Amino acid sequence: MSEIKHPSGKLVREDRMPHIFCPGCGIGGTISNIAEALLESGQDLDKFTVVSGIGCSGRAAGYFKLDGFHTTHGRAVAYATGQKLANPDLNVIVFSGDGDLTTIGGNHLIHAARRNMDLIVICINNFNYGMTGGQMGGTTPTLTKTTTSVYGNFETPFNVPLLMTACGANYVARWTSAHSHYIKKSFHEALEREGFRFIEVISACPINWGRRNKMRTGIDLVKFFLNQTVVKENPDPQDAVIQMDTPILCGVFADKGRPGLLRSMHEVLSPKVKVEKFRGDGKVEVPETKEEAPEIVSSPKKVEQVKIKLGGLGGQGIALLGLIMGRATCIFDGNEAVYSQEYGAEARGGASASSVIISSEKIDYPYIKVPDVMVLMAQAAFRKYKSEIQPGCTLFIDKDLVKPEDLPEDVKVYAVPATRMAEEVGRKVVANIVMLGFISALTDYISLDAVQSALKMSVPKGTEEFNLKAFQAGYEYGEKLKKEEA
Amino acid sequence: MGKDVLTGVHFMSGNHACAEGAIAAGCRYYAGYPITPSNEIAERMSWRLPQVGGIYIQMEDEIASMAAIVGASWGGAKSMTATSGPGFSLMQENLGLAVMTEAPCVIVDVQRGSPSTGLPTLVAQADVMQARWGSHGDYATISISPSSPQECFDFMIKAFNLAETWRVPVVMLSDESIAHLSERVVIPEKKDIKTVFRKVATGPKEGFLPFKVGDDLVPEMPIAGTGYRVHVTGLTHDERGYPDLSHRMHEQLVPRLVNKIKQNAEKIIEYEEFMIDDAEIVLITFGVSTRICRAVVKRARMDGLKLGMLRLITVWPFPEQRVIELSKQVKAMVTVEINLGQLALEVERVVKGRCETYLIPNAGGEVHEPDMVYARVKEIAQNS
Repeated sequence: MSEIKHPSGKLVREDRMPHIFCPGCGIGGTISNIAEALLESGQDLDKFTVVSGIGCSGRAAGYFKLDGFHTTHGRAVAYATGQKLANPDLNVIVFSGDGDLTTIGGNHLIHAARRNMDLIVICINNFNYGMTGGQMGGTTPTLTKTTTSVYGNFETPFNVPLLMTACGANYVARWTSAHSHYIKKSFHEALEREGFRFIEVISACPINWGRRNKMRTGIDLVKFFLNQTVVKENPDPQDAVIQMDTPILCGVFADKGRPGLLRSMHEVLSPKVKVEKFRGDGKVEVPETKEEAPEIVSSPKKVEQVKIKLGGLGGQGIALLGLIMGRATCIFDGNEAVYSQEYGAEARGGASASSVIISSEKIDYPYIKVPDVMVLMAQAAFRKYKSEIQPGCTLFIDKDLVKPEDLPEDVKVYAVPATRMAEEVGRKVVANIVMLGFISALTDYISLDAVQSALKMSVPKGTEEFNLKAFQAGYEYGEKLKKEEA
Repeated sequence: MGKDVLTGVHFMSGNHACAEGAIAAGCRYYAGYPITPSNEIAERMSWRLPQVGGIYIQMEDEIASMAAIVGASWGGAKSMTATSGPGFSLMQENLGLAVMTEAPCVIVDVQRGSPSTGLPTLVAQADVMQARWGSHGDYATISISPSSPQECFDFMIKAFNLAETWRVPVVMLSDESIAHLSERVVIPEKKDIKTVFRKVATGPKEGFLPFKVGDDLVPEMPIAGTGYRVHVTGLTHDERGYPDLSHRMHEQLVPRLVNKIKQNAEKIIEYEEFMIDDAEIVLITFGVSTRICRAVVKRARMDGLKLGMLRLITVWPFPEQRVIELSKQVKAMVTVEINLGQLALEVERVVKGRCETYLIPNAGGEVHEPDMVYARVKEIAQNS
């Protein structure tokens, strides 16, 4: 046995021979064609990987003497996408069957073609699920017989070249397993291109498909392919559907020159993030930037736990108001804060709320059932959250927008015309910031410096001064109220 | 831009902290598909990964996402995805592939109300068993569960280190509550963050055996493109990686994959104990429920009730030895989880009646109310 050498032995795992393919099967020959083309290419073969799914053709990954990955049914293209993007230096070849690629894996195939993923896909199409005993699939020609279409297939098969072309694949070709020369030529062309390159190889399956369709041997099928095949220059993929009584159209259906995904990714991202390379394995040198986050506060300000609920309408900046309070507390005062937002379908319309709990101690239960403080910027919010207002609660409201009725006893109400004041400052959108200033003047659980620092880091760059002005207006209003009360 | 470790103090949501933890751990590859309530992880990764030269790719579904991160892992990446229950279900087959081919990777499952579409925007902890047994067959992986945004950051580093050390997929069992709470997150200096990369193949290429193991049962990984020209398959395989479809080989491979975790469980398992030394009743919990249980223990102690808490950091593997020890010294163990009794089954299995076992269930949608848990604990205390 040891004297018999495979002609492409350098690229075929001879220690795995004999292979599993049936006599007359077209897969082995196609593996040889690809192996020969790879050897001819003169490229560094250590940088080639083969990824297969499940099925007879899926075993290909195990016969190439390359890094070979035999994955799950239908997922070879998705797996290969991961591998190529992890290490773009690799040339990743997907070698799998029609059922695997176009039927169970159809979603991955069409999306890889759409995004023009930098992969070469060899799709062996033998019209049936051979490994499982010859069932029909998405590529079985109409009226042909399989073990699950014993009366003849009543479905229409995929026109695979049309599908791939329509989805945007850069290079699409079809040959049969009787066209060794063309397969190799196409593979060389594919190697020279980028993006999604797809080669369909109509392949003989005498045992499971041919036998049930009056072509019992490999020779019968090769004859059928040669008789039935029409090789055309620039064939129209519209004409590429396979039926038993029409020609099997072969050729190169698409050769578009679109940029591959990696190039597109680079073109869009690189100017924005000033990084030259993108790859998943971390082998990219990225210049460190100096942006520093604030450091830990060494002596935090002491504060009893206070539960604040903020309610209003979408667009009033209620969420931002809560976030600024949280940031001020955690980052600049060195205390604990938990912030949460009402998060649900109901938050998309009408009144919504967010919550902040502030404390010197670690906060265990992170939600608020009975708020100590409620900040309300809209009447709808008042109506929605009114039942949570218990005796002892402090209410901060926009004087013009909220008219509190039927409040329980012992509820202190502080009112400020926040929206009106915001308009006076220049823009209605800073009503929340006016409110923040107002609250800051009348409460002491967050220090003034902390609130202002958090405010500056939370608003869009260039609007800091404007926001501070709004804050100051609210703060002064609060101070005045405090003096009047005193 | 360009900073991978955002050293300093932040006010950050759990989901954002997961993303930052992943990047600090060295993750440079994210493949995912949008699903509530995990989206903020994908959003932040799509923004941050390009800044550090990494890859964010949005796949066509969760099946593809999981396949892609396994492929990326073999391509040399520290890779991850994030999802929630329905997406996690779709990932299970390829999670099995990661187990069988020993591809380190991390899956964040932000648990939400279930089954089916359930409560997309609300909390649950009902994927405990899916995290353990979701893929077909016998296998063992690691799941860890954070209870705060700070832990989301810290545990993502832990998750990647565990995945890389043991060459298994690691599930980060987060939940909608933790995902959307914002709290202080302190990110240390880069030099103070310990990261691990898998043992890579270094020996001679000729005759290299990619699935040969030593005492730790973890093989060296010949990353794609490094010249080892290995075959990697989801089929039962020998040390060469070649399919060997026999009972004999299956009897070697599958127990080895399980024992890799089982035998090293003591090195993997982490838990936190609170007020446990003299406890007569112990709450067993994990994830966001830790916070509720801690509040309940504090209150019970003020009332003189000897209550303690065992909080699992690694939910899987389950800390059997510690639970056995505790079961010999306490009157009752009470599992608190946002499901109808999943971890509780494991507690019962391990305790074997040595002490009483109870469950405080919650079908999901909200975390447990401390008042309710405390009332139930007091009842248990009176009866035991």
